[in-house]
Amino acid sequence: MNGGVNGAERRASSAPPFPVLPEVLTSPALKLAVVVVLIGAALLLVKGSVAMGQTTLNGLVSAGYYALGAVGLTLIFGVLRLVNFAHGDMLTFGAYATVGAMATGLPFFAAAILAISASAAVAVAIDTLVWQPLRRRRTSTLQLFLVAIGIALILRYSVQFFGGGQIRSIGLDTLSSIAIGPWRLGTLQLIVLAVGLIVIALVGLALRFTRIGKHLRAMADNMSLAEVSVIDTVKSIRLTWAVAGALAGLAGILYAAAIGSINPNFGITILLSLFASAVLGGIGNAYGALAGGIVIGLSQEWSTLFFNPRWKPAVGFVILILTLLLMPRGIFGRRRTRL
Amino acid sequence: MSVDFWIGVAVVAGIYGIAALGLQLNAGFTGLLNFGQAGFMAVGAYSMSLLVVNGGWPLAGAIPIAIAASILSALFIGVPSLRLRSDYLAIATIAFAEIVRYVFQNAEFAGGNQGMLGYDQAWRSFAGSLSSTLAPWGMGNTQLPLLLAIWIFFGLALFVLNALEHTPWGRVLKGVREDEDAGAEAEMARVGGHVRERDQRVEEGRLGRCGHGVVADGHRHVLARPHRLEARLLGGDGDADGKRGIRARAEVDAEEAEAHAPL
Repeated sequence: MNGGVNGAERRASSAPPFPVLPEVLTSPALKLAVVVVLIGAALLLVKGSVAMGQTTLNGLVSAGYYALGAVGLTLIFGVLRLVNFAHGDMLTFGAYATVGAMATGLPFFAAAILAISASAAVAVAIDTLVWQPLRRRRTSTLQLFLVAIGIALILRYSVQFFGGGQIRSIGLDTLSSIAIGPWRLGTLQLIVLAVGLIVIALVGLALRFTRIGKHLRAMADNMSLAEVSVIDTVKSIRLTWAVAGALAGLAGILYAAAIGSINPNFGITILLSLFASAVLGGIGNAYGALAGGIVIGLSQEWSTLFFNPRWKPAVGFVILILTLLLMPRGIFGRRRTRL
Repeated sequence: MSVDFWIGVAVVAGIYGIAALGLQLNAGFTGLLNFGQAGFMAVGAYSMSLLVVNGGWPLAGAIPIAIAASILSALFIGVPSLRLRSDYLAIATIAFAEIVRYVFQNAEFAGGNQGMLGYDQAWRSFAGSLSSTLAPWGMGNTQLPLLLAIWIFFGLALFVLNALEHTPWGRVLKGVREDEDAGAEAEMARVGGHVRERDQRVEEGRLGRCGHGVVADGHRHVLARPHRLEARLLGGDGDADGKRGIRARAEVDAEEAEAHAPL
């Protein structure tokens, strides 16, 4: 008894003090924020406040759907070691479900809520039908990759079958815009910006303070440890899929609202930017994915100050590869054992 | 004619077969999840067409340069990313392939979405004269020379792969697959696997282009990759000629890999 207590004391004294602040506020986040602000300030001096403010606004709009999409990816990877290539098509599904529900006469917000629930349901259903049996069989990484790509194709072509292959308008007012000083932002983009930032904050707080959030982070951090703790991993894996699916659905809706139109390929086109966000933040780290999404969104829009906007996605890819090569653990990734 | 149809099918099948052999070296022998395949193919294909169409090179001279370009791009992405764990490597190679696709699809010099035309005139005139020579024997199909070239190359590649599998180097690769950590000092072996595969892939890209006549990068979409991996999986994971039993030999291989580690 005594020995145990002494041992605990020794461990406590040698370990750094338990972090009181959320992980977001500890040093890597501060460093990242300082770097981003410095780059922003430099660009402000070089390019002037009008161009800089406009690209920053646009960047924050896309940060919303990048961050929310990346959280799902990173949770799934952290919990299941699964690189979920079908995640981009979950975004497509969310957007099409919204437009489909609106076609039946539902107002936008009701349709969006319905679509988010449907995305969560689809994600859980895929897990039950496909991933759970494969987990039991301990399928190898290569096979899991191929299954994920297969699911992505099934989702995409199902959407195309029911929704048509053409580019569709989302049926909302995409033309009206608001002037904020010298900057202009579409009304829809403004809503996307607000919803995105609010949900990012809510997701961060939920991960930090709710029991479910703690369970998800614990499982993403170390599955075996979580399993020997009180966490019911079977239930929690299903919950992870539900959360990832719902956030993917929401991200898809935000993305559709931001660009004003949808097509069956639109999810896959931003999938790698989502990967870039997740990897930049340290794959498996939920806060990191949120921060990574904001960084990727800003850097893609800031790059348009120098390059043709058509190269925007390539900026995400380059950041992804550089992160993987230079600091594969990402900004928030901890030194972790290989699983 | 149904014979002509099946010749067309066999051309595509041979190209996929060569690609599957290339992946076999990466994923099957070495356990590397390389999803950048299509990107490396595109590098080879576009280097060759750029040299021929924009640079006025002869086709025969452009092919070795294109192979070299593909090898360089493979080293560029392969050597640093081999430090990564396998699932990260997959993401890195996919991102590389997407960058390649984006660049070629958006760059004016590569024809954008239209792709490039007119690099295969030398091959066409050669194949045309060959098929008109063969026409009296009822083998006048214009795709027949391409078919022969592809399947001869496939046979050669299969032979080389089979031979490689039983060299010390091949055993080191399999050791790496079974235990990536133990294979850390055998990293050079992995780099070798990467590059040699690239050679094959370029060749495949070249043959594929001659078949379609158009280098449109949409073909090199991410979707093209799983088909090849499937082809390789169907052939049996880790055996060039599709026979099974690698797992049973794994322990022996790992021991031999250790013996040959300072390769």
